[in-house]
Amino acid sequence: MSLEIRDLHVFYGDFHVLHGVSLTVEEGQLAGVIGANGHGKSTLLKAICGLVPVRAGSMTYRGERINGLSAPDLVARGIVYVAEVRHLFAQMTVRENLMLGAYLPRARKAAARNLDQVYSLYPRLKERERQLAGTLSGGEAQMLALGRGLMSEAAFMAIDEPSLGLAPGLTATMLDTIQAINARGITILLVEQSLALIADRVHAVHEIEEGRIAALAHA
Amino acid sequence: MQQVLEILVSGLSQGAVYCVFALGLSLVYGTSRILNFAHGSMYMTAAYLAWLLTAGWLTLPVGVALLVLVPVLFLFGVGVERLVIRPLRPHANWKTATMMATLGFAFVLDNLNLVLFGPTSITLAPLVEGTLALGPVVISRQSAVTLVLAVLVVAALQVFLTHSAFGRAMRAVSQDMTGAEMVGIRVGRVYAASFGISAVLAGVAAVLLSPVYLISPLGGWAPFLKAFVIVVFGGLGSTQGVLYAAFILGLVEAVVVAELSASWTMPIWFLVLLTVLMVRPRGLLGSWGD
Repeated sequence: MSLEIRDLHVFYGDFHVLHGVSLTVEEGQLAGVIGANGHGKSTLLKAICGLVPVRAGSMTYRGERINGLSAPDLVARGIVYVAEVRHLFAQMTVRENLMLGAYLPRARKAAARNLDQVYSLYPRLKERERQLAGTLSGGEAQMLALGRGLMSEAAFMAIDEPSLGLAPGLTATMLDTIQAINARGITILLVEQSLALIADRVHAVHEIEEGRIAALAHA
Repeated sequence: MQQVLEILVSGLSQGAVYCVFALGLSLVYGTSRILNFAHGSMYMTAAYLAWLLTAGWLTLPVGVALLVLVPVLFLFGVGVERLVIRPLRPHANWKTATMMATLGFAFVLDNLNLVLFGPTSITLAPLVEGTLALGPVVISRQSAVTLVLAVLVVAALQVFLTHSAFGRAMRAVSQDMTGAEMVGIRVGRVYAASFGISAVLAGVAAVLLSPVYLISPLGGWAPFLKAFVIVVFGGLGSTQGVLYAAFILGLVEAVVVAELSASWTMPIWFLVLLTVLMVRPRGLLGSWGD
């Protein structure tokens, strides 16, 4: 088992966002989380990746308790968040962004190999290597966000709505590459708004409704 | 012609020191979004420390005192971030809270300096004495050394920010803090280091400027105000912008001092600033949304 979450509660100030979410993700799985906007999908991913504090519940990754670890601590363990709003470094080049993905020592050692992999997965990024990240199109920015995550020597990627703002054709291509990343042995928890988009691609789907897991369906 | 060249040299050397000092303010704002009101008081404190090392307590040469001050001021800056800023970060209105805390800390430093050193201005020996003749142009060796040293410091900072892993991490934090955390950068360390570097830059500026501008308990506010104008003029948080702004305003000041008088510097700076802000509300190279 890769990730196990039990009875997770998260608050933003006084606002109760996650009301006891439990789910497990198997090693090597491509798992989906679906649900409407504002029901806590992104919050779940951010909680797993140490970007929002957890009030109660437990999270373990490969048997180790990860509650309360900071984002950098989790990146060091291979748990990487790819945000829907990307959080790229707009005034740095594509290559600088990718190399910052390999900031921690563990990832730095593998940087050359990972950079080759990212460029073979997204040849477009290689073409744009010297361009500033802030000048990329939506699709290219999404590729860079995923590529930067891969550069962190990820073992578990939490990917938040990669389709956001992309044309349907581009979304399909993006989801293809996410499957390709998963096929390389990286466990993925993928958030999307609609089941139709990911039903044929994922091994399991969890639906979040008003901060709770609503149904567990195996696709 | 000769006078024009002298104004040019004096403007460039003045601009270079302003650049060093203002970069400290800009760096801290860029990475941690804090306007450090204590920057001028930290500059003055560094000047007093330099005076202690060279005249007040020891008799080290000014250059050696500067080398001693670099690590001391770095730790001082880190300490300020840890003790004054960090405890306020978790609060909802941390932006106002930290700004007020730096203002309060400035008063603490000012009054500490007043108690320890008294209200009378003191002076710091220049790094070098004498004058230098470049053809028909005669300048003081101090302003030549000031220009060279300040340019070297600015260049070293640029190289550090663009070519070292930690420097790139600092730029990453200033561009997207969450993005920086997502790649594993510990932003707290970046905040602390930027305060440390900022204090060192203030100290370098203090050692270079104090032989001319004297050292007094409230003497840090005038340079702080100038640095503030430079940072806004260049665009909050933009290192490149500070570079241009400092040299432009340094030259403006040299012309004003030569043609009118030194007391006209600030009014004319503000005129230039207002004009630029009317055309470019975020300064020369500013791009920050908040």
